[in-house]
Amino acid sequence: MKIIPKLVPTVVKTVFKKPVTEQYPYEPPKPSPNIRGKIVYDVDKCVGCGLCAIYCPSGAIEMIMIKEVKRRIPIFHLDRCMFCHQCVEVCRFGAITGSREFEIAAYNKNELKIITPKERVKPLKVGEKK
Amino acid sequence: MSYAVDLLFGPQHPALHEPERFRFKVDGEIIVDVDVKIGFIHRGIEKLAESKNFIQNIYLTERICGICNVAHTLCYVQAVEDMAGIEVPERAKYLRVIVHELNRIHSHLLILGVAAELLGWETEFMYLWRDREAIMDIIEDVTGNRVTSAFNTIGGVRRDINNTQKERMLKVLDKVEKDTRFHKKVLEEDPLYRERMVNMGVLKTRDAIERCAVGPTARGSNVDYDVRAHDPYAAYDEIPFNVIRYKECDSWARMMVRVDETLESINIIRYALKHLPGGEIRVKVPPRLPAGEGLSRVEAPRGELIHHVFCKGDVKPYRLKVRTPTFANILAIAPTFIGHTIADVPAILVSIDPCFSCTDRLTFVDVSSGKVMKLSLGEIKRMYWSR
Amino acid sequence: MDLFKLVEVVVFPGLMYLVVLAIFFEWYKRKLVARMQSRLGPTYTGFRGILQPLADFLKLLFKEDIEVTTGDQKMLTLVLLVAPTLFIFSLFFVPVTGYTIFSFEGDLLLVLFISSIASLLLYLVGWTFRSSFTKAGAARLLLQIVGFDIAAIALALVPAFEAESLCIATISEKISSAVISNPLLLIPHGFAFILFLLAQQADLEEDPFDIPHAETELVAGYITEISGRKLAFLDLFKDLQMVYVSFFTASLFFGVIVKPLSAVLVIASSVEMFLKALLVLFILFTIEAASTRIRIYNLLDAFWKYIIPLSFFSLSLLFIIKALPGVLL
Repeated sequence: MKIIPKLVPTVVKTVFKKPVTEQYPYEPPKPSPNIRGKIVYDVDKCVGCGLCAIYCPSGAIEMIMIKEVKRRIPIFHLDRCMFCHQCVEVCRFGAITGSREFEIAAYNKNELKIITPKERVKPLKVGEKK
Repeated sequence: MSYAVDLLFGPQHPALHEPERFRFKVDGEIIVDVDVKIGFIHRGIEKLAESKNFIQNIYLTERICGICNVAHTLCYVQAVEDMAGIEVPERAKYLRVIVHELNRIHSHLLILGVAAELLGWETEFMYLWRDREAIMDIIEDVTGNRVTSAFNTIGGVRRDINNTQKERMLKVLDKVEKDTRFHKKVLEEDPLYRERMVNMGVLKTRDAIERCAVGPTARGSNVDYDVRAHDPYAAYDEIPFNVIRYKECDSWARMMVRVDETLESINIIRYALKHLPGGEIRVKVPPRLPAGEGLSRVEAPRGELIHHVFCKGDVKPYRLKVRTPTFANILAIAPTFIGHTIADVPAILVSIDPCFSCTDRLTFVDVSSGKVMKLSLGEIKRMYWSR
Repeated sequence: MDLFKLVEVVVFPGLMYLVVLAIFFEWYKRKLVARMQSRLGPTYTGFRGILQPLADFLKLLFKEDIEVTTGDQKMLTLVLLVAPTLFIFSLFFVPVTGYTIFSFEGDLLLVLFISSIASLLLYLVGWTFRSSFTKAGAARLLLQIVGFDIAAIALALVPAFEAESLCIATISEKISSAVISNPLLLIPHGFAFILFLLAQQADLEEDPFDIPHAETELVAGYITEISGRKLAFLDLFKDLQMVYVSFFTASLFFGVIVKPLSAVLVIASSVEMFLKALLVLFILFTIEAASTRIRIYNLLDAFWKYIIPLSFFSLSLLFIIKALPGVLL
């Protein structure tokens, strides 16, 4: 009886059990509440210091100058982002926060940019307490 | 007179999950000689690290190897801390141990599954990976991502564990322990698996020491060598655990070391969770670090991992040197192919848990003359970029 | 030849029914093995993915046929056309629906001969190419055939001697009554059944005997260079082989209980045979799912050292049991 493979009883038992496969696009995914997902940017809290761009490991954050209001704001290229949330950690003003959203596939790279419209960017008041 | 012919395994082959070339000289089905050629996926990470700052390099070193990512980040941040003389809080050390061991469990279950799959045992592969999913879920819960955890940082760790996570983790660990015991029984007793693995690629204790084998490969050859026990880092000096060794010295023993280490890791995590000290989880570290050099050794799932950081007082390292375990193991295991058949190649190769993309370095040495070949950027441009 | 016979050959127990069965068994295999591995298996096409093998077959038919210039393509085409036909032809003698289309005394030997020829044709598939993987696969296949074929033929004779006939239809009719009348026969019968299943597993090239096309050693063995339409026909050939193996084993060792005397009973007996074939396949796939691949040396060892001697032993045991009442009286 030594030559019988050890998995035979388990294999027969498993036929009558429910499969463990999750049919992902048809079933809602069950990620943990703690996952690092897409980042959320709040332009009102941002001061344009550029620390996030300096620390981003994959160069996903680009600082641009908005001439009308004379200040810099970041553009997030989510196609390059690897969701390490270093920018969230490094931002002292809480302008960048994490979210749980991870289904961000797109056909076009431009859809994956977080660009703040010019109208929303207010000029920075020097000396204002945050 | 022998009629040896060359049989090429790779760079693309179903038994290799990463591109690497093995040239076997085969007489009939028997291997008479083997020549390993590495370097197909050299990625220039060490050079790239010189252009990024210390924080960015954490995420870069994490990507040297996706499977043992926690070991790589841990080793790198320890090297930097060693260089800058940073003292890490106690709680952070314990948290590092917990995630490191979770990572080890996931890596070991993964390679056990891959080994089964390479032997044509798809069912055991599916079962092992199904049971591994529970570990992936708690890694996701604790660190924020399934694979690339981004958990360690210079001066501590990035996330804390709360009580609900702790309880959930303990519950999952009980289940994983039960599953692993079942798999241990199957792998120990299954006649066909034993037929394929026992007495394959025998690496004697003496040879293992001589050829500098590390990790489960060495411990499967009865070498008492585990960095966690012999050069304790993080909180391993306070946690009791056994160094698993097997006397059989073959492929089967190397795989069984991994099964037993999984069980041992579960005990380590339980102990660490029980004795988790309070306090801070990280200390603040300035971006510019003083000049100096730091070395760190870590027992990665595949064996001993070394990171060496050298800094000239900048925000960037001047040089980062990595030695990965597969680099040591692949040369130790290569001569053991001789005398076995082609059908045994996957069984022997998988037993060192090869990770080739970690291994690849770009230094060509002419063995006969000992001359090191180097190419400057100008030469590369002249030779390869001219149109 | 009358029209009824022609309809039989082409439609109901014949060609079309067998091809439908082949496609169904392919689905059954994929679904069952998936469930054994705690997976879902095919789900999209039709009810629980039942049309998936058909979809795969049609898709392969429409694909470009990449011809390897070093291979003998004409030979390959001929082999792939002849090989499935051989199994369909041999299935005419097997009671797929409880009765056979053609039958004569001694057709068991013919069927065994034809199935061996069909397995040998697979060897030619690999041998037509100059690739080292196909060559190695073909050589392994030949060694494997040498291993299991003798055992399979010797073991197929056990039920033949129990029922005292060399006609498959007669064997399947008489086997149950023969075994019931002499319960001692159950010992060599059960013994032979288990060994015969192993031999058929080797014929089907399933784990632990999927050595000729071991993926991690030889890429896909003798199939490596085949693509498109030719691969579709090769798949059909393997599926028909599955039908042949399951019905042949079921009719030799289980027999037929419901005799197909009228139209309603034909349906009942074909359902009965169908369920028995599914049972045979269930056992084969359980072995497939639970075992690793062995080496070609182990296979030759297992067959020449154990299974072939044991099959002759069960045959001689059968003779002793058969002759025992005569000696005692």
